[in-house]
Amino acid sequence: MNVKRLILIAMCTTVLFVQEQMLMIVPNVQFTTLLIVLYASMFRFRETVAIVVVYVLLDNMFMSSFHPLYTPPMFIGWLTIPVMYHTLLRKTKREMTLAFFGLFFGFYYGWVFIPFRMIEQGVGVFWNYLILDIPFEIIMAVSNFLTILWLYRPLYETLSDEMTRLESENGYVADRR
Amino acid sequence: MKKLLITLSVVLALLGVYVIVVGFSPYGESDVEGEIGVRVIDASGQAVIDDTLPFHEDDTVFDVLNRHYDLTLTTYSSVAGRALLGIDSVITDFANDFLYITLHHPVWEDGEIVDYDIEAAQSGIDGLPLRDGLIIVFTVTTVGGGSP
Repeated sequence: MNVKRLILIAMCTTVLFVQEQMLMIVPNVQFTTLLIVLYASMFRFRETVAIVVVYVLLDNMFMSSFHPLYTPPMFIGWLTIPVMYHTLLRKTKREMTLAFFGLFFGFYYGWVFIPFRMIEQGVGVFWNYLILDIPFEIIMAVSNFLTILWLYRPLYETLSDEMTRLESENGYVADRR
Repeated sequence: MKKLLITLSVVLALLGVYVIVVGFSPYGESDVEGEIGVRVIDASGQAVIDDTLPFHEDDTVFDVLNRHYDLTLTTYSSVAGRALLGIDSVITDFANDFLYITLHHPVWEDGEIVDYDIEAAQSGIDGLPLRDGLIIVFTVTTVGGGSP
């Protein structure tokens, strides 16, 4: 990996972290899913995994929220995006498919925490958590759907142009399929 | 045009689900009228709020608190529903400190409260029960400081 690419990945991680902190005042409205989907389609699998790992570690450090029952579901939840992108989604660039994936992910991300809450607070918390979290999962699902559907394509084209320009000297060409 | 239609359809469908879930979820709503006690203890251990508040049929704990105080709210993945950061001037940031919630369930005998069963809340304010005579205590607790 060359230095330019390493810097680009670091900058993308910074954007991911900063936008989440800036949008924290609006419950469950964020560009995190859009950006991780975008990065999954721009970078190699291991590079996207590195971005997600650094982002989750940074987020937990900043929020003082490292916890054996809180940090692991965050890793599982966010790492699902690159895993799904490279398997079930077959590296698609279709914004409609990705938008519906984002919609599903809004619910899935909330459900990932349920088993960990059950370990912490008992099996009885299952229905409580499931019902109470649905409104917030819907907000995240709508946010994911709208941002991916309307912003994925322009962001992808801009970023891939920049990457091609940045790395053309090294023979790198962004995948524009 | 097609994209816009799909956007509108999906948003309206999810809005419908949201209204149904929020509107018809029976969780936390009271079947009767009554009173609850609300205590807020700040970082120095002083009770800055100690009120008895009436509630009506179909109220939730959130409804009652929201009617009487300025609430500071947010959401976190670790908390189902809304996370309460502050009540009036008592504000926490959930990173360095938070509101530790304990429920004092009344033990009734012959129509009178004779004792309280105290338990730590297992959910955020959206999951708290609303029962006559219940006292809800919010204690500012420093992260890493353990239970107050």
